[in-house]
Order: sequence, then structure tokens, then C-alpha cells
Amino acid sequence: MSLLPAGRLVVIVVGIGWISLFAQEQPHLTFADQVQLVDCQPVSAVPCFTTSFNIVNSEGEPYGIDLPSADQLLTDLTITADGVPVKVFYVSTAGSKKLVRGRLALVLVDISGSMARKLPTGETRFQAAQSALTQFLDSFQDGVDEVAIVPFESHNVASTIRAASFAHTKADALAQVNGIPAPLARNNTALYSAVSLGLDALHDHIHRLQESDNSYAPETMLIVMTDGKNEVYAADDASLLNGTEGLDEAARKVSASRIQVIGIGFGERNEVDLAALQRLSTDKPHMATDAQDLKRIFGLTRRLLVDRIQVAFLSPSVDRASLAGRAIRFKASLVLPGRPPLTSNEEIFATPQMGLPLFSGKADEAELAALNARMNLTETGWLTLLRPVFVFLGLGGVLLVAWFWIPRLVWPGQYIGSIALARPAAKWAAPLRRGERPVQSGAKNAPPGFEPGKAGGALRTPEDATVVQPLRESTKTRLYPDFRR
Amino acid sequence: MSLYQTLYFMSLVGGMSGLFSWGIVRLLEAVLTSPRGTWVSDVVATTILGALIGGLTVAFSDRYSGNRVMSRWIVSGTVIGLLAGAVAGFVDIPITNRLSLTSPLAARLISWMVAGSLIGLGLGLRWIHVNKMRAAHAYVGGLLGGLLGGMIFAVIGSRIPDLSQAIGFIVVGIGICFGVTFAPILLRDGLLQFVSSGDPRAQMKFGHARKEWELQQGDSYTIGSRSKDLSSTKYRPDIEIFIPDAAIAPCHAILFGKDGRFYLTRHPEAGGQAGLARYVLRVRGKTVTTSQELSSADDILVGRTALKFVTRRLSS
Repeated sequence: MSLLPAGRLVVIVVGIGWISLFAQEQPHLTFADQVQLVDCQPVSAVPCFTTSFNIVNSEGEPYGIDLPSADQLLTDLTITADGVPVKVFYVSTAGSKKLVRGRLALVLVDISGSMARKLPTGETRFQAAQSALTQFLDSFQDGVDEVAIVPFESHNVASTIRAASFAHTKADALAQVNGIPAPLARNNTALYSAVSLGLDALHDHIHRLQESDNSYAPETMLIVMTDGKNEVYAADDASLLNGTEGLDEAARKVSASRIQVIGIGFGERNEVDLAALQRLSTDKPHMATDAQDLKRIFGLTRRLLVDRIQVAFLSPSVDRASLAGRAIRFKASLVLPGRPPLTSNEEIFATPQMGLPLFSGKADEAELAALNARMNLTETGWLTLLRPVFVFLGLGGVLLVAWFWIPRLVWPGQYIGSIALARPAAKWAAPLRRGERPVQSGAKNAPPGFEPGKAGGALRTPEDATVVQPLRESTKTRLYPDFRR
Repeated sequence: MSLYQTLYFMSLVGGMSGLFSWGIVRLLEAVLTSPRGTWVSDVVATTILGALIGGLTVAFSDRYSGNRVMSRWIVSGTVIGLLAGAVAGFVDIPITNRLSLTSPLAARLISWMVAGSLIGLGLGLRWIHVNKMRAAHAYVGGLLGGLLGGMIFAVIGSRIPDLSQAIGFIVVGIGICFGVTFAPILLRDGLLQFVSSGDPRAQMKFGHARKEWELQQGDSYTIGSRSKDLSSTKYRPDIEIFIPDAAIAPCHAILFGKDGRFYLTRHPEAGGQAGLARYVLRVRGKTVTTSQELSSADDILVGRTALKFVTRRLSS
């Protein structure tokens, strides 16, 4: 029996609705942090990688799944490098007790003039942002979290962001929220520069900490909240990023930084440049139209920072030299009972263009302990150690052959490749004993009068006299004054 | 040493520089740790490559063109190469940032080419007072060497670790030194050949190897016997055509090419009545008092050293 046209329409609409709902809810893994090469010595000479994942829906919002224990995750999680599975030896989730890494977040808050506008609730956008930030800090863990709340507009942008101070305690972080200056009418929005400088500040802070502790590898995040679009005018700071080129530069920096950047638009949709925010974010930007929405989004953002699956795995190659010249594409999949597999996006680990990939730091104690406990390693240390020596000697030998032997074949009469070695210095003869005669050497070519006698000794003795012969015509030395002509 | 021997040995010197720099880079990278990204490794590699090529190239070229290898010139060559290598390393950073994720192969090839070409340009600048095209040729040589080295590294890098990187460095070194040396051979408009000398030092030094000096239009070459110890500059010799002949003045004559012709003139230090009487300078048996245009196959007598001038261009 055929359906009536109206019935068909209902079926199609419901079908599309289900499909879109399903698509929206379809969870997947996403790399929340860059893949980093770390040193796993002394447990293993094979280099290791560390990274972390979020489980998110298609909107980029955290997706709640009850994850099994970390030990079970080790078998459920598969990571491939260029399609080849690698050995995962460490997994940690927010719920597990193994959490060892710190969390680092930089929040950029727009304080342009439009943030002073009032919302239907009566509070200003600025006050709503402060309130959402306070809620964001609710779950702040002293000793684990470090957060910097940095305002930006279009004046003193660089100096303000570079002076960002990362709060180690919840009280300090809340003080930063309360200390954000109120928006002024003259303030414009240097959005692109703020993101670019914020990434620099975040990197600088990480590097400073890593100088004192080279196993420090925190979960990082940059959050940028704005209610408008990039607007920079003549009265604002000089050299602020603007226009398409400015957006391109900031977006390139986001891509190169490999730090998770969350863009949050706040206010009217038509006032926020969501396209630019999309390019400045590592995932879809979020849009909040009211204070409650903003609080919800900041809450989601906090979950993205906290609910990460941290993993460590062995390199697909036995040493760093074997990684050189490659751009390794990592993918992950997580198979949970009763669910379709969760697959991840692709993360590329780019190696240096000419040199070997350097370690970002050392694997931390928990990771090394897990590696030691779980992996049955077959060490290939000697080969790895000696290979560069063999390469150097082998190629050096080829070059020496090319230097000393080939020219003798090509230019047999004009060989110049020899290296003049210094002759050993002459030595004084040992002192003679009483009655001993000096040993004469080189007698074969001795000049007239110095030939050895029949007895084998020298003809001349200290008693011999030197007789000067008269000059004859044949022995004269002639000087030719016209020699040069 | 003939020009082709110079080309061969200079290229080998470049290869050795590449191998030594690879060895040093490999040692350093074994202990280096950097959370700052991939650029640190590249800057270290290009800087060491530039420094070694700069130092060894200068040492070799001075060894076979002059009388003694001067440590201050080796140091200046090393510093020039080091700076050029460091600049190349830093130029590679934005290239890496923009291309390494989207086009890794292109990023690698461009980085190697930039490194080779900039180091070559830096070293070529040392000879720019003699030959302006030498810098350009060193640049192109480094570019091609970098391209080839980069291709070797990118294609077989992970299959044959260490060897591919070492060969890449060697090829870059060969490319740069080949470019530096090939420029004068390719562009030469004339040759000055050593025939014989009454001074045993010059005869010993150049007689066996049949030394040749390449000449180019627009360039100027000072002929003399000034020791490098007395050179007034700190990064290059004063004398381009050095002949260790006691009868040759420290700065004896200047050979220059202009408007398609070559001329030989007395150096001001060997001019005047005293200079004329003391220092012999003859072309085709005639004493040169001021300047003399040279024709192909002209015999030149400088002090007690006989030279022969050969050019492809006919002088009228």
C-alpha cells in the first residue's frame, strides 16, 4: 500500500531528523594535544610518543562515555602510525588515579566597547563573561591546574598578553577574573593579534617550565571569547594583525602551534565573525547567545581540558634516525563493548627538514613504570649506536679513495693529492763513551774526502788538516750580469 | 694544479665538509633535547654545515692557490659559513611552519635548497672582488646540491637511516664547492698558464702540476709574490696570482679584462724608473712600461717566471 504524499513527507522529515540527530551524537576521538617525541631511557632505547584525546560529538562538545579501566583501555585503544599499529603502553583518564600531567589554560577575554552592552537579564555581556569564568574555575585543582585570564581589546595588546600570569591556585585565578578591567567605549577588537600572542605566551610559559623539569608536558588549551569581529583602527596599537593576511597569519600559527584552541562567540550571531573564529579554532567554534549558554559552553570547555585520555606509545621505528625525513600520520581507534568503534582524526608528526627529530623531554615516572612493566623489549642498542660510526667510516673511506686513488688514474703525471707529513725532528746523538768512535752513516753518498776507509771508520780524524787548493779556471763560479736578459 | 683538478678536489673538499658536519650534527643531536619544535635541529644542522664548508673550502683553495694556509682566513671562512648556515636555518622556520603539514616533501626539498643556496652564496661572496658571478654560481651549485641532497634524504631517509642523511650532507657540500669552483671555469675568457721559472720555489710549486689561472672579462687580477702573512685584509688574499719568485715584486703587475680584451699593466708599486729597472715584465719579449694589450698565445715574463696567456677571443 502506497503512502499518501503528506505521509511520505512526514517519513522523510522524521528520517532526516533522526539522521541528523544520530550524526550530531555520533562520538569520535579527537587529538587534544600534539604528538610529542619523548625519551624513554633508561627503560628503553626505543623512542616513545605521548599525546591525548577527547571524546567529542560532531559539534566538538565533550561526549560522556563511561570508560573502562586504564588497563582495559590498553587493549581497547589502537594507535596506528602510517597505518601500522604501534604498541600503546600507558593510558590514563580523568577518572583514573594515574593522572600525572598538569593542566595549562590561557583564557583571552574580549573587553571591547560592545561587551558593555546589556543582556535581557539586565547584566552586561562583560558581567556575564565574568560569571561564566567564575564557573569555569569551579573545578580548579590547586597543584594541577594553571590558568591565566587575560583581557584583550586594541590597546597595549602585546604587552598585556605577554605579561600574562598563570595562577596556581583557585583564589589567584578568581582574583584575575575579578581584576579584568571593564570595557571602554574606545576599545576595539584585536582578535587575530590576541590569538597569535596568546599562543606565544602559552608556548613561552611551557618552555620556561620545561627548562627546570624536562618531563613536564601539561595538557594545554587556549580559549578565546569574543562578541564581535577583528576591528582595528588608526588610533589602536600599531602593527596589529588585520584583514585577510592577518587572519591567515593567525590561523597558520594556530595550525603550527598544535595547541587546542577553543573559540567562543558571545552575543548576536550576525555580530560575531564565526568564519574567522572557525579558522582560529582547532575544532568548531561555540556560539553563546545568552549568559546561561556562555556558562554551559565554558563548562564544556573545562570538560575538554579535564576529560582527556592520555596515552604513551612506542615509536614505530627503533631509533630517532629511522624517523628522520618522515611525516608520520597517527590515527587512533577505541573499541568499547556494545558501541561502534570511535575513530580519530589524523595527526601528523612532522620531523625536522634536515636534522633528526629531537626529544621534547623525558617520559614521566608513571609512563616509564608502565613501559617497564608491560613491554617485553628487544633491545637493539648496539646496532643503533654503531650504525652512524659505520656510516661515517664507510663514507670517509669512499672519499679517501676518491682523494688518493682516482686522481692517480685520471692525472697519472700530475698527482697532487698527497699530504706532506712532517718529518720527525732530528735527534742529538747519544753521548760517546771514552775511546768510542762515532758511527758513520750515509757513507755511500759521502762527498769526496768523507768516504769510509778500509777499516770501516771515517778517513778524517780531528788530527787531519784541511788543505785549501789553489783556484783553477775550471772551479771558478761565474756571475753573469746579463742573466735576466 | 689544472682547473679540472681544482674542480675535482674542491668538490671532494665539499663532500668531506658535508661528512664531517654530519658527524658533528649526529653527535650533538644524540644529546640535544628541545621542546621548542623541529626548527632547533635544522638550525643546528645548517649552521654546522655552513661553518665546516666555509672553513675547509678556504683552507683548501688557499693551500693550492697560495703559499700558505692562513688561520685567520680559515676562521673568517668558517664564520662566514656559520652565519650563512644560521641564516638558512632561520629562513627554513616559516617554510617548515607553512608547508610541513600540508606538503611535507615540498617543505623538505625547499629547506635543503635554501640551506645549500644560502651557504653557497655566503661562501661565494668571499671571491666577489675577483669574480662577481662566483657568488651566483655558488648559490646555484648549493641550490642544486641541496635539491639532490634533500631528495636523497626525503626518499630513502627512513629506509636507510643515517646513510641517507650523511649522503645528503655530502651532496650539499659537493654542490656548493662545485659551484664555487665551476663558475670561473665555465665563464673563463682566458687562461694564464705557468710555463717555467728560474726560481726553484715557483718551479717546484707550479711546474709539475702545470698551474693555470682562469681569467674573466671585467675582473682584475694582481700578480705578485707578497706573502699572505703580509696581507692587509683579514678574510682574503691581496694577490690573486701568487708566484713565489724572488724576482717578482710583492705587487708586480695587474692583468685585467675590459671590453672583450685583456691587458697587462705594471702595478703602481712596481712602476717608475726604479721599478722598471728592478722588476722584469715583458710581453712577447718587449718590456711593459705602462700597459700592454694581450693576444692569445702571448709569452709573458714576470721576474724569472715565464707564463703563457691564452684566450678564446681574438684581440685585434
